[in-house]
Amino acid sequence: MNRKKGLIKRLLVSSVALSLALGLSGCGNANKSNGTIAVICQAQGVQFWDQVQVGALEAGDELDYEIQYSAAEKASDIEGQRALIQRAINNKVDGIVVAPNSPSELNDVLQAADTAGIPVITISTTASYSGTKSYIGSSNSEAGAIAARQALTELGATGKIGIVGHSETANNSKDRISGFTTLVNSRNQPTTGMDESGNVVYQSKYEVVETKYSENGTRDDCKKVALELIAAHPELDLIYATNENSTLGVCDAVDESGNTGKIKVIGFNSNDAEITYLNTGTLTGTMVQSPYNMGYLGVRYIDALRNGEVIRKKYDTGAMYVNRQNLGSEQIQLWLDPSRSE
Amino acid sequence: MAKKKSTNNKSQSGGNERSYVLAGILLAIFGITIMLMGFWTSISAQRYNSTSSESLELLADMSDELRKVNENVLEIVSNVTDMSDNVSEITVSFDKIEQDEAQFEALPFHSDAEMKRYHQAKIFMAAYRTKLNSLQTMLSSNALDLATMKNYYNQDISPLSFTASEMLESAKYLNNKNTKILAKRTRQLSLVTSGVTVFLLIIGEIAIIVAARLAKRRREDLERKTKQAEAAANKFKHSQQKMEEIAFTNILTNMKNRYALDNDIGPRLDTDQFNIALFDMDGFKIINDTYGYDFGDEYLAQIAEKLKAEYSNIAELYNITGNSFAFVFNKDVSDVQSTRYAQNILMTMTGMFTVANLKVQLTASGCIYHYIPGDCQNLSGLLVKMDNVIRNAKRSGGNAVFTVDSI
Repeated sequence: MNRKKGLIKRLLVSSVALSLALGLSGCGNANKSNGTIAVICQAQGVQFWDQVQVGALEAGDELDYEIQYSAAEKASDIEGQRALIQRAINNKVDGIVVAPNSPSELNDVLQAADTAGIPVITISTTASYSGTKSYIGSSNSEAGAIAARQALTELGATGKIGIVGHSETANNSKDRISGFTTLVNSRNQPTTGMDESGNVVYQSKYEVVETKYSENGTRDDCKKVALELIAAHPELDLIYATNENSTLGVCDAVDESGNTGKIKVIGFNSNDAEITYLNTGTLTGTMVQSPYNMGYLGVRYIDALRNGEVIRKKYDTGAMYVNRQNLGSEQIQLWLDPSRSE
Repeated sequence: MAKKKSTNNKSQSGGNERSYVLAGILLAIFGITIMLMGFWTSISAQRYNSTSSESLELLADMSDELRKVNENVLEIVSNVTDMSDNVSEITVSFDKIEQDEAQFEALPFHSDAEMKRYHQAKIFMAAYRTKLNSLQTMLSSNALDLATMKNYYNQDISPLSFTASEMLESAKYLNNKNTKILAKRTRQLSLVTSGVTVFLLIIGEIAIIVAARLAKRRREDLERKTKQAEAAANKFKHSQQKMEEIAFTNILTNMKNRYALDNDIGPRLDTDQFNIALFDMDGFKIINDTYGYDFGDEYLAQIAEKLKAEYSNIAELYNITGNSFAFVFNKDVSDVQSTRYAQNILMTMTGMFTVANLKVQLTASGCIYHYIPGDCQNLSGLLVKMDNVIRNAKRSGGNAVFTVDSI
């Protein structure tokens, strides 16, 4: 009798255990089961890339991916980034989202990823390798053009402009500069007539006096470059900077050289220090992209690719011009921090 | 003891019945639970599927309307002169989007991630509409030229519309994904349910088989024990008979003894008339003293055998003590016949016997009693009476049969 009771008890316990095991395994599988995506950015300690990371992680949570986030030490660190991409390939990740530090020098390792069957999406800046699946970011030349239009509005009829590029090689740096200078030059049209002294009278006259590049893209180096630029061209009316560190370096230099207010600064991105400069007036305006969207969509479109969906070759995440006047508007606040919408 | 055993069995079988009933109820509860689970699963899956496809439709609809807005905006940017149609279409689309939003938010089953993306899309769509409204006001008051409008498009409108539509797409994507995951869970749940059902069925079968085996074993046990008890009872009865035989039989001569005589005629003393004779060897003590008890026993045994052989058909024979024999004559033997038989018996007893190659012969004395009902109170009284008569016979020389005088 006792033995039978024991038997029934054991059977009951084991049946409960079995159903629990089946049930739990059903639930547990959903966690991060879709794979791993490497997100590799340009530089460490830059708020812009931190925002990319936030977006990527949120997409990873929503779509059940483990996100392996990493960044080169600085934007000029091509070999460091190559090692990160190679490591991701070795780890057999399911996709790579990368902001390449060089437009062409990383093509070999990007091709290696492609050959290994790992889809690559570039964000923020492009690479010339044709095997990447998509580019997600601002149109850098368009952002440069917007910045130029705003710069000319700020300058009025005439002005001398200097440019500090964060990198001589990175595509985003080059495109932002070319977009900027192209528009400036298009507006730089002499009009009819000469004055009494025989000089040509311009309806509007703008001049990009010099474009200097930082060697390693750090804030300190950009500041050094900007100080050299200011020293070489004391008549400068405006400096255009192409990313977060270069904008901060230029602002540092303008303040340090006592040119606050005299030399206007138009830059890129919107970290806390830049917002402070915007409020103090050193920074006239800044082109704000959506790094969160770049990170989020980068991961999302890797997942879409893996599910066999066809995705576009390019997604323009857009850029907005932010100055002290529109900084407080709801639209700009949303743009600066998409996770606020929760 | 037997009674106790049977109550034990009874309580055991009562316990079995209870546990069978309990097992039955448990199985029924499990069965019903699983049925309800399956029912609930299919109902909720249906409900989920319909609402999920409904919310997916609403998201797709919003996405379409947003695309229409973008197309109209692009037309305005490329051709400002024919703006009124585009503006009204944009208004219609945004109104439609707001209706869809209200419907979407009223539906259940949205995942957190889906809602998060939806809310982002909603806020950006609202910002988009506000921006377009302000631009339209500027355009209609001619405060805006086409070139500037194009610039606005690039730097203000495009990021808003892009983010809004991307977040809507993400919400759609997550909705779809969630549907797939839930469908998978539903499949898993139904798999688990059917797995558990099969498992329980198997357990039920096993339990029944085990119970049946236990019951069979118990029945076999019971049968074996019953057989054992019967065998024990038989054995007991047999040994009781044997004991009775031993109690009523003289071991040496294998004749009935004094107790048997008491048993046989005791009840007849008050009611029956019968003839009884009693004999005793004369001077048998000398045989034992001279040749030993074994010899004496053998001598008596031979006498007994001879008496049995010759008189069993007319009388019941008893060996009362060592050399004392009693004969209760059958009812059809008359008084006279019994007296004659008594003389014959005396002759038989006093004949020549060969014991251990020695020829022995002793005389004997006896008495015959024609018993009348009520003559004696009991066997002792009867035997005392007859012993006295035999003593008289021995005193008067022995080797004779005297008759007990009836009073």
